[in-house]
Formats: sequence, C-alpha cells, structure tokens
Amino acid sequence: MTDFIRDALDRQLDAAAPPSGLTSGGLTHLGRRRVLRKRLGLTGVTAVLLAAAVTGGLALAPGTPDPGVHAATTTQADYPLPVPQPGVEYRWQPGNSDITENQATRELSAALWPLIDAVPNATPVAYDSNGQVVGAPLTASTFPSFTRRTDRIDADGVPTGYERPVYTQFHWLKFDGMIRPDVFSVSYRPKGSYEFGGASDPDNPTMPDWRHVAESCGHMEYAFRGEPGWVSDTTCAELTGPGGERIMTMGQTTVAPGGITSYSRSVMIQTPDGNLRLVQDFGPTPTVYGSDTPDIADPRPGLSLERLTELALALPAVILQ
Amino acid sequence: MTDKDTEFAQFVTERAARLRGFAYLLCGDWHRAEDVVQTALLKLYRAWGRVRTGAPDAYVRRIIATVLVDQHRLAWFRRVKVTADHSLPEEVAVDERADQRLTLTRALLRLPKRQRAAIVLRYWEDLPVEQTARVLGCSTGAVKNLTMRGLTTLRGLVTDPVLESIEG
Repeated sequence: MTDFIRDALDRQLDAAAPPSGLTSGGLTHLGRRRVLRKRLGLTGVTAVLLAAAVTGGLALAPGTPDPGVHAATTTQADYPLPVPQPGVEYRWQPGNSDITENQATRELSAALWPLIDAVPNATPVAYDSNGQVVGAPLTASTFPSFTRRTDRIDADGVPTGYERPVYTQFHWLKFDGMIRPDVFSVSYRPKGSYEFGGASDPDNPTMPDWRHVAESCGHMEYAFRGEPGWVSDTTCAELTGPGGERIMTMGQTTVAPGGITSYSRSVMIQTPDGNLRLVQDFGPTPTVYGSDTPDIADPRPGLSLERLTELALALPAVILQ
Repeated sequence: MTDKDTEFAQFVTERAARLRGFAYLLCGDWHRAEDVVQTALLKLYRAWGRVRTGAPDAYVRRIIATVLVDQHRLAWFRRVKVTADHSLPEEVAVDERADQRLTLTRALLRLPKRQRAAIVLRYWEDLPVEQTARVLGCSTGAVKNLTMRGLTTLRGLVTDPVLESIEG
C-alpha cells in the first residue's frame, strides 16, 4: 500500500518535473562564496558579541544550561540565549504542551477569562476546522486554559541543550455583527530567551529571526507557498508602560494576490521581571471557505491596539519555569 | 576542490532531484521547490563539517519542511489559504477518471500542509515515525495523528480501493 503511494507519486513527478537548474558545481561555488562573505561580515560582530558576553557574565556556550534556571522558584530565572557562533544556523524546535497545569497556568488562566469576558460586544466561542462555530459560547469552565511547552534550540540541526518554557493560550472571539470570529492568542516567554522588537530571518523574511518573536516592521513583498504577489505592511510603535514596561505595538495589513486583505494586531510587553508577553488579535478571515470572494467588508480585528495594550498590561506577572 | 567540496558536490548530485521532488510535494510549485532546495543546500554547505557524518539528508529535509510548513503564520494563513482544501473533491473526482496518478498528486496537494508533509515523509520518503517526527519538529504521537487524518482525507478525495485499505 505504501508502495502504491510511492510508485504513483514517483511516476507523476518523473512525468511532470521541469528541467532543474540545480547543479553540484554551481551550488558548491555559491556555497563557498557565501561562507567567505559571511566570515568576512561576521568578524566584527563576533568580537562585539564576545566582549558583551564576557563583561555581562553571559559567556555561555550553546547548550550550556543557566545554573539559575532550576534553582529559583520565587524570582524569575534567566534563560540567556546562546552566543551565536559564526556560520552556524540556529532554529527553534517548539515542543508539545508538556504541562497542562501548574501554578503559572492556573494564575494566567484565572486572570485571562474575566478580561476576555469583559470585552464589549464579543463572545468567546469554539470553532472547528471546517469554519463553523460549534456549541454554546464559552464560559469560565469551558474557556481554554494556558498550557506550557518547552522549546529548544538546534544548531545546524543538532540540539544545543538550550531550552526555555513558553506559556500559551489561544481561542476564538466572535464580535457582534461579524459572521466569523477573530483568533486571540497570548503567550509568555521568559527573561533572556528573546530579543525585544521585530526582526526577520534573513533567509525567510516572513519569519522572525530566531532571537525575536515577530518579523520586521515595515513593508514586505514576498511569495507564499510558491505564490508571489503577497504584500505585508507592519506599523510599529514603542511606548513605555505605567510600571516602566517596555511596549511595542504592531498593526499588520496583509494583501494576498487578488487583493483580499487581512489584518492583525499585536502587542509585546517586556515587564520589569524580564519576561515577555505577546498578545495578538487576528481579524476574521475575509472569505468563506472555498471562496475567493470576501464576504466581510472590513475584517479588522475587534480590539484596538490601545485595548490590546490595556489587556496585556492587566495580565499577571508569573514565574516562568 | 577541497574534500569538503567534493563530498558536498557528490551529495548534491545524488540527492538534489529527490529533494526537489520532496519540496514540490510539500508546496505544489516547481519553482518554489527549486528555490527552497537551493536555499537548504546552501545552508547544508555551511554546516557540512558538522553534519556530513550524521544525517545530511535529514538536515536538508528539515530545513525544507520548516520553510514550506511555515509555522509562524499558521493561525492566520490556515484560515485564509485553506479555502481550496474544501472545494476540491468534485474537481478531483473528474480528474480521477482521466488519470489516476494525477489524481493522487493533486489530492495530496489539497491536504493541510502538516498532514501532507507527514504523508510524504512516511509513505513517499519511507521514513519511520521517529524520523518523521524529528523532521516536523513534533512528537511521534502527532505524526501518527497527522498521518491518520491525512490518509482519511485522501480516502475521501481519491476513491481508490487500495488507499482505503491503508492504515493510518
């Protein structure tokens, strides 16, 4: 049976594959040039990073666990990112939810429900993969809880030993008058395990750089799933919160080929304990499943950046471990 | 050429076509597939000293899968781009009468991307569950779940008795 799938696909690929421009000689030449360019470019950067690591007491090799990580239970432990090594590719490998309930998930879940329940003209709902609201509106007892997962960093595909806890929750939030709901998500990342602000992966600009949680602000044109013509504009602003929090608001407009426009709003907050909160509201899908014709005239997220910021600031500080 | 270059060139000669096919089955676009494979192979060149004695094939597959099974925009794009997934069964049924092989490929390309990737890795690349999980960056249980759901959907799209007997 497996052979059936493999053989059928092989025959189809053989028949359909256009000539390839990939050659061993060309790739080797290009690879050699890029390595040379990277080495030259990284010489200065490496010196600065090493100096910072030594003076800041962060001289951790990739994979060396922070001794404070497991010791502290009343103060937030630090999860300093590995010092990048030249020519090494770092990539996060998100884990599955490994703890469904602990002190932090309980505190976060208990705090989030009343905040969402108090959003005017909105109802948290369950939504299935076929695009249908299912069941009754969510209540305090059916509202999804926060979960914890462990993310690790691989260097050139090999685990470094670096791990950090991430706490997340997402749900659907249907605003009055909208025929489909927004997606609302909250995540927490621990001190040291991220760089504040947005920055794109140089090789894949629609993805964040491995140290960041969001891609770059500004204008971006790109291909998605082989389909060119996608345009994304992200407007960012940096603020200071009432308790000294560092805040960045990000409003993103994405236009697909054909002109269908979608929107999202994000707020990231670095709190005084060093942790990061990321709160996001993705506007409703502008088209119904199976159609390229929008049936929502203005699919903007229901919560403004100001309201998202208030909500993010109202969430509690918790120890992430 | 250095030894490193020679080894790398040999790897490309032996594996590039297969990797391009893998990328195509994930994205359904030959140009995109070639771009992604080139990017992945250039990253492999940079890392060749570290991964040459390990599993360079798995390393490249993981890069390809990560780029094409885009994690960051999952929540948003799934809702926007999944549209065709639900409109295709009738279209596929017409194709099936004309060309069984085309039907299977097109049906595969209509699966949600993680299900598609799991099916391709398990049944086209013939990888065990554990290796598939490493490529996709998920648990073995998740791979089994993705495979089962992917096969279930494929059975709905392709009315072939052989497919119906495949266990997820």
